[in-house]
Amino acid sequence: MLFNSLAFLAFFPIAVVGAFVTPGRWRWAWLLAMSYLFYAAWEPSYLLLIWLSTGVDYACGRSMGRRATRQARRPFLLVSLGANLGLLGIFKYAGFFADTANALFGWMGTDAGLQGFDLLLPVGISFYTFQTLSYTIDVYRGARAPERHLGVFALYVSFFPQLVAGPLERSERLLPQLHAAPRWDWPRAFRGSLLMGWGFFLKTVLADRLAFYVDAVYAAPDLATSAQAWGASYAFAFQIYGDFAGYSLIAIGAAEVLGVRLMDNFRRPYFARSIGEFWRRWHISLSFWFRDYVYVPLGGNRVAFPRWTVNIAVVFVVSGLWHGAAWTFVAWGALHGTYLIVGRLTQPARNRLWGQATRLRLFISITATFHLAVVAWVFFRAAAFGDAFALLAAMARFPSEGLAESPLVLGLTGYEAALGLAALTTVLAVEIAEERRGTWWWDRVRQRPAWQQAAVFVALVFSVLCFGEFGAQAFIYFQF
Amino acid sequence: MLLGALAGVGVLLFLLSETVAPVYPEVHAREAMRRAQADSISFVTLGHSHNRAVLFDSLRPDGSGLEGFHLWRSSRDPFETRWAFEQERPKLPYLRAVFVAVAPFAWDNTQIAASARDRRRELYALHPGAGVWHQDVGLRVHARLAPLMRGDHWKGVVYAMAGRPLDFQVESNGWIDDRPRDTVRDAATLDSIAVLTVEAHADVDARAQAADPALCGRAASALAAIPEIAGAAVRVVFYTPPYWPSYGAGLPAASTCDLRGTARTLAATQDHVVYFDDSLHADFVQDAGLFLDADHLNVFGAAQYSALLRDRLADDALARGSLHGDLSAALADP
Repeated sequence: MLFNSLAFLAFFPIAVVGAFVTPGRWRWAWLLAMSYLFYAAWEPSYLLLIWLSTGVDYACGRSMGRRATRQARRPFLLVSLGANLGLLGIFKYAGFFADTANALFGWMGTDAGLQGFDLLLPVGISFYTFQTLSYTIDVYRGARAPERHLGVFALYVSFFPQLVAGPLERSERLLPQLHAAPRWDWPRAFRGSLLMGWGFFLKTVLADRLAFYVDAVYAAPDLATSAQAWGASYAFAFQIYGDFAGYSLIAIGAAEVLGVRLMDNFRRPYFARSIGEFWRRWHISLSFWFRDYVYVPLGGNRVAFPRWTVNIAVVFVVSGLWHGAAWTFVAWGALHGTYLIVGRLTQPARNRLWGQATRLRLFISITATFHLAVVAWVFFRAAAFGDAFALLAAMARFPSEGLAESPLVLGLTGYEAALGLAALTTVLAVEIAEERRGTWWWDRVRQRPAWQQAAVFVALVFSVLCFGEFGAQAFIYFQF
Repeated sequence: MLLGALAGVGVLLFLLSETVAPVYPEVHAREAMRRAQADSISFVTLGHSHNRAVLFDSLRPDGSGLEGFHLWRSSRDPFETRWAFEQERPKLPYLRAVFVAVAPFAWDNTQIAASARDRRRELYALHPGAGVWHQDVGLRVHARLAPLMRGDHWKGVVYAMAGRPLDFQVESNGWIDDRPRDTVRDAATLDSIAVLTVEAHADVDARAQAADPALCGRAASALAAIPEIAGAAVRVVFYTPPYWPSYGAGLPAASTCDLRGTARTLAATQDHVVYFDDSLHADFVQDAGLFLDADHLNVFGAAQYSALLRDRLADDALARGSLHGDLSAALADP
């Protein structure tokens, strides 16, 4: 069920009331039942995959817990890795690899005739498999004790606010909270509601409106003018931010209302001064996952430069592939890896050129980082390389073609474009203020008098109701 | 306090919206016109925008005393057509004929774009007393909240308050339009539009099929219900208007639901039903000047087509000597 659907509007209050009237020792059972109901609303049969992942990792975790050495635990880790990556391989990547192999053999003049499975991608499979993998890897490393309670472990895998699109939570943070039975707390619930409200604003008022324009331009990239190509590229950067950061905030807020604190997943990524910093602000939970379970085991940055470039390349290519089973996603990841490598190579020269950190350098760094991200997003959004290159070619024509044609002529009326621009301005103004003060706006609001808190909340709710798009557009990250 | 503030602001905004610029103004305006003319309406059109092919002025000779009223709405699906007619039929006591355009594909607006869902919401808003239809609770609730969660995102209110109320076009015969009717295009342009339209409609057809494998059967049932709702004393005229040939030949090949076959069967088995399939009518397919786009006639094409319908109906009713003889007499030139 989508967060931005009427069904969720009915589902969530029931889930919350049930969670606080159910006796503490059975709270996990209520939340687990609601989580399965939430997921089954998409496709009940895919619950079997969650149960498979849950069962395998619970058993592997318990088995590893009974063994003292890493060597003795390793077979169980391999079973867990095999099961989870196998699920991903079958449901997400089989078609991709088959197509790639067929193309390769076709290029060599033979017909491989491989076929992928014609399966619908289960919603959120990349998220819950990675979350549960982090648990088994931690148990394997001896970093945490295995979870004994099967029900609570099942809830850890399937906790509905973050089940389908994160944040990817670590077991040491989430499992203890799922064991606890917090009391209802009005300030906490209000904070959670503010987060949810802001998430809905980002999703329905900003992202889903920009989507009309982006979709119109990407439907025929060959026909895009330079201004339209740039407009759609900027718009997609904010669309995917509004979409995914919006989802994360709704997830974090919903969990907070239920008394569970999830990690922050976005911290104003378009204010990053480098690509490295961008990844510490964008999809933080995934960045940290790759850091802890791929990058560091490969040697991280404690290796010679050539080896470090390999580590970076591996992490970002895999990250691209995690986002989608297509070479355009791989290119997107590879491009970010290249940015990091080039950034490190050129850092001494840039330091010499700019010297001390000045406001001008800050502005240029933020602007350049943003534009590097914008260019990379073209590969992320395009359906094929041909589309991506057509759009990049249109963008490259900018100085000669100029702004002869308005970028706002596609997909949106003038009024809709004005609403989208107003929403974007609001988001940027809020984030600039947050960036300068170093605090989230909702935490500042909670320090104001009660009537002001209420006014902000009411304004947020009605901004979403009056100006939000309610076509139940799915969240982009659900496909991953 | 918070709940009180939410409720209070909600009520205020609701009232402001309904006072300054009510939602779905065109359908409410049309309903008011229909009420005012209820005692004289003899013909209606039902369904979607392919009914642009029917112009009452050309269909009805001067002095016949028959009045036509358009109840079609662009993008309306077969289920909405049936439901709307169920609501409207009791309010049309002097109805003698209904004209229903039959498309070569079927769709369900709950399964496609949000903008199409507005069609259903406006129907619910128009018939607030009617119950929930087709397990459509979500859209029913949306329709109730429509003054707050407006499809135009408060554009109507903002513009009205700025002294520039939005214009909406409803003619006295119920015709609602947001496009020029006298557009003329050349054949090459129509061909390129047809390619895109076939692609889009085939996609809608395929998605609707995927979402509900029983769609074709349900759509056929909805079509079959029209003659029942109309009653045996009312002539039901199913027709497929002329299409630009690359659409008229392309879409049936790409779509899966054969609603035209259903209409043909209904016409063959029920005395008060006729069906004219003119999708590739020879008088139209050569003349690009008669088309607004690939699947709609412009005002010139519609005038010609309506005259054709008028002659056929007159002949048909006279030849069969049916209970519709009075209709044919009225349709005949004075």
